[in-house]
Amino acid sequence: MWSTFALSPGTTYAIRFPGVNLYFRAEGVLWGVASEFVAKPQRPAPAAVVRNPPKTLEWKYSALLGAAELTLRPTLSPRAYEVQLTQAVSILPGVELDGYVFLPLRAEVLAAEGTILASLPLQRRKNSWFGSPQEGVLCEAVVSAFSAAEELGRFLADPSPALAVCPISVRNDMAEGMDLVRLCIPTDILSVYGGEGIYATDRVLCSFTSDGLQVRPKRGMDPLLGRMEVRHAARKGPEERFFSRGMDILRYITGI
Amino acid sequence: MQGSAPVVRALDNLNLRKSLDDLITLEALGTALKLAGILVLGLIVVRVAVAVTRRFSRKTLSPRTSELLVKFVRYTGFFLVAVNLANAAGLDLSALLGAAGIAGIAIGFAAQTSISNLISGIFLLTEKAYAVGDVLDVGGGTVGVVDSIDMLSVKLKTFDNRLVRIPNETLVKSNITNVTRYPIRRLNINITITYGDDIEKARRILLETADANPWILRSPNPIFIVEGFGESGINLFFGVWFTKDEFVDAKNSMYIEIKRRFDEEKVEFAFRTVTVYQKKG
Repeated sequence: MWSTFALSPGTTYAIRFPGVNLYFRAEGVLWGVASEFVAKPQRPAPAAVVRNPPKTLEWKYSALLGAAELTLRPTLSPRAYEVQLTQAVSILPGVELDGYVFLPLRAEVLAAEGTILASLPLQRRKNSWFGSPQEGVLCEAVVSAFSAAEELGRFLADPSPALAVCPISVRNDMAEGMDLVRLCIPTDILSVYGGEGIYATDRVLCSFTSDGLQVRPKRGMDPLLGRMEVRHAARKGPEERFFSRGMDILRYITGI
Repeated sequence: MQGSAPVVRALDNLNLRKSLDDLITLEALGTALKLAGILVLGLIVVRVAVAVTRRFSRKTLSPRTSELLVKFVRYTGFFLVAVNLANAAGLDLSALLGAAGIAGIAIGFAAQTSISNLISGIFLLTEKAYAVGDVLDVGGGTVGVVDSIDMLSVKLKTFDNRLVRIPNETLVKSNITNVTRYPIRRLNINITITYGDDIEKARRILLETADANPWILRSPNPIFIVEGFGESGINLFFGVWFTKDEFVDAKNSMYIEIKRRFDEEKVEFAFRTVTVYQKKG
């Protein structure tokens, strides 16, 4: 699925992901893309010619840049993920819990020269809000189990090309115990890694303090996930994070 | 030349020629040039000061505060140019200021409303209740997007493309609802179902409708309340959250989908009914 393929003029191609079919076609100086979400999960399949694409597809056309060669690259949502856990997890004060959650990937479509042409969701999107109704973050809603190493093993045996494993460490730095029900994971600080059909992100370190939730990445791969290469580097590096944090403090002090 | 001789003679008779000569002296010409210089230079300085203030305030302040600061700089600049001009012209400013005091009282009475608006504007500015681009509902009647915030009034652009000018004094006295102040809003849906319907079924349909709607946020959770037994049916309240920019899509899609699902699952909307008893005989 995550590959480079050439578009022949007038021919429609389809790439199958578990929850969506992505269609591509080139027409003269334009290229078109369309998505079709499916109700039941299906077996993924790489780019293949489709004779009769569904008539209900809503095509979006753009000018074709250079050669009609497209690359699909896995990436995370531009919005943070609000991960709602399928089961609440109790964490005692001072305890750190390690586990894994699964984040939905998006398909970034790149032209031959590396220009990003489109970013397509691979599952139906649902937005959510993390924080108070007056101040918070608009997120993409995700439902995931907080999996232990054994459950991760089951996922790795039959990985989904539309999900990224996100190793996570949650620490309760409050005076009282807490029930972990949901988490906000910013995506701009995480890189996407890939290898042998498995995709993963950096480890996320979450610390619940009396001031709120603090999240930071821990670079590098989880040993259980094996050797992987960077597929999509984090949009925000440590310098930018330091700068934006400084600006936040300055804004807080000055009130501007 | 012959025609002009009587005119010259008449001027000589009236002694006006001498007066004109006295008036256009070298000193007077110098004063006039000085005044022109002050005026031109002053206006240039004011223009530059306004441009610099606008450039820097736009980056650091809200559009509303920035515009007011720019106006303050402009009018202060004009005032200083006027004072300098009067000084250069040799006008006695102390007398002028004394007169200005008396005139100020007179103008104060005359411009009572304007000054009230101006002061109200300053109070509103400190409150930071709204900014340019916010949607306001003033007094429960006028709804529109804040187009500009001026010294004396606020201008709203209504959704049917009319411009409404509301004096600051009116705003201070009115209830203002800032519809778009916060990033998310709740859509309040009031539904009345018949007494023959199942409340639990209605609740399930409403929650499923909200869950399937892409414009409705999953968190904060939708809220369902049985408000009571009404005259014509059971009153239900259903509240769902959406981001403020998606008001139209969220509202339309929710109402359309609720109607469709209720029809599909045979849940009836109640309407006002009157039972009439006819007395025999």
